[in-house]
Amino acid sequence: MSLLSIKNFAVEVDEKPILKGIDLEIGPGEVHAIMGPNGSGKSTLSYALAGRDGYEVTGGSVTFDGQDLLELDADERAREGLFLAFQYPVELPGVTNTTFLKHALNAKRKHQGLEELDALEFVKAVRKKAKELNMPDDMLKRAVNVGFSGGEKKRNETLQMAVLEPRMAILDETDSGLDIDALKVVSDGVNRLRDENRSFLVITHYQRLLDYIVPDHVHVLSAGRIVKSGDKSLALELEKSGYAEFVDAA
Amino acid sequence: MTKEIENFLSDLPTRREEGWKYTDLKAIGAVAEGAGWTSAPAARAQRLSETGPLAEIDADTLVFVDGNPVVSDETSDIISVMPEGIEIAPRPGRPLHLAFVSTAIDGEAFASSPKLSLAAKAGQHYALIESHTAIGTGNTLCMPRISIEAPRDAVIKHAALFDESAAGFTLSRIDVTLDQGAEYDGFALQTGLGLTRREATVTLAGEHGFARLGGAYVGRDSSHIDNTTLVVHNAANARSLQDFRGVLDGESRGVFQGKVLVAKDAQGTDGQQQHKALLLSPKAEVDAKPELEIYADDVQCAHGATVGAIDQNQLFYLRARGIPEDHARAMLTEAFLMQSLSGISDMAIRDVFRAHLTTRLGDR
Ligand SMILES: Nc1ncnc2c1ncn2[C@@H]1O[C@H](COP(=O)(O)OP(=O)(O)OP(=O)(O)O)[C@@H](O)[C@H]1O
Ligand SMILES: [Mg+2]
Repeated sequence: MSLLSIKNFAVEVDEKPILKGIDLEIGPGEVHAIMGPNGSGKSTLSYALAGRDGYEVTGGSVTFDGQDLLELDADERAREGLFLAFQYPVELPGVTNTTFLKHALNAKRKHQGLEELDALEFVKAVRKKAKELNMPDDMLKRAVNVGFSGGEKKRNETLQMAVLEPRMAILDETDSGLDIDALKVVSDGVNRLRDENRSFLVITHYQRLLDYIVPDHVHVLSAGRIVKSGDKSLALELEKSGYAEFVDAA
Repeated sequence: MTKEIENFLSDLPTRREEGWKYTDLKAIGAVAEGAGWTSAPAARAQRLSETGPLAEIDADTLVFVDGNPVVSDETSDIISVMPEGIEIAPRPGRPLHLAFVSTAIDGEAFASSPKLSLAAKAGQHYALIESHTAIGTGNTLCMPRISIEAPRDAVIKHAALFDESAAGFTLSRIDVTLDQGAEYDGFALQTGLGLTRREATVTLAGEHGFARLGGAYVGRDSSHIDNTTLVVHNAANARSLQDFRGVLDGESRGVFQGKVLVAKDAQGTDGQQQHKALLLSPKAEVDAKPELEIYADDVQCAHGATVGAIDQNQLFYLRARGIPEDHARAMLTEAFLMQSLSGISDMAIRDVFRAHLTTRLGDR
């Protein structure tokens, strides 16, 4: 059975239809990549799946591990194990990274009927994960994303994912803004999390990322529809030929 | 009742008067008529220790019960009670806590207008703590007036907490004069349920003085919180910084009237002023009137005022990490106010204020 099952999913923003019937089945442990021209609706899909207000579902259905995802509020979806790494991570002045991670993790643990982590244990665990992502400890004490460089913000999204250990992670252009070394570090971070139960939906413009995070399936989104699906060779093909074929078709 | 209060009550400023447009004192008049203001009876001595969260800070403590000073052994040698007011010679390095406690019970109404003047010594450092708290729910009108003279290179840190009951009216005034190289670093936390107006005037009378006026407030229910400031730069090369933040919920109202006045000779002035408010309820309201009046030409001055609601982007970000909406709102609200506390240099006071803010935000 699919972990995430998206059927004929249609979404409007400000009464403007953006997604026009998306079908996508993501099985446990699978990595799917979505590529597509600017403005084709990739971020709209990720926001709509994450439950952001203002993204009105006008048709179709989405189930997550068998339950109706669209019935859940954004925070419930996250506690159920859906994670979105933002294309544009948000700055939170006055909220330190550590505080943020602690509240997020404890909200999830509470939901799972687990006890809150003891402060010391928590700090230790987070430090270890930050280190794996080459993030200095002082970044944990700083306000979330405030004054972070573009690449640091993306790394911070990856850290949040590593701490929250979601079942389904959507990475919206987590690779853009990363230098070559950081791309490797972040990809390693993602690959460390890969296992037979955890699935990924990776949105990217660059085939290069998919050399590191090798996808099982690649889809092309154009004008709110998935216009082509294939294996990882599709990404290579797109790198050569661009989107012209699909833009015309859509 | 003192003559001054009598005069004040019979001649309450109206909203038509300069500087009173946003703060309406009619309620005080109504209470005054109903109950008749009396001076407080003998101090309810058993409660002298209940001076609120700042009691935690080790300090010489001078308690004012319903406005009347209760001089203790601890404070007798630094205080002289004169007909025209209380003269205080604080000990350098030893915090002094001026604790205004209202004990009036329902049906009572007390008014007071203590006048305090603090004389600092050149080059010395002082820590002043001021608190306004209530353990009764009766009407009190407290109009403290504090004046501080800071001679050359004196440093005064001042932390004030206003946490009165819904029946408390506080109209406080503080006037600070800074000589050359002197520094005044003040922070006021206002979380009361009644009406608080704080007028702060700082005059930078000598070169290279520094003044900071910081503030954070939480408006709840129908509280009214007014900060009216005037920073006067009379000397060259002095610096002033004002940073106020408020959160308003329920039907509360916030007022910020801040003015920076730079005299003709005050070249090289650096005067910054900022007020930011976060509205949490459609019935809450804030009026901000920042003003710059500059007569010198070589100055660096800026002011800003913003009013907004909780940022939807930030709210979604927290929720997308699993934090429930009300919890996320509380976190963002707290974060907004806590940022202003970073201006408090004394860590112990900062911690007390942080904890108190968390409590009061939870009480909303
Ligand atoms: N609030 C809005 N009102 C109107 N149109 C919107 C709104 N938000 C998004 N859109 C439109 O929806 C379309 C899809 O946007 P989306 O951000 O999903 O694209 P994308 O595929 O993620 O693009 P990119 O590769 O540039 O990140 C765009 O044409 C965009 O202008
Ligand atoms: Mg996008």
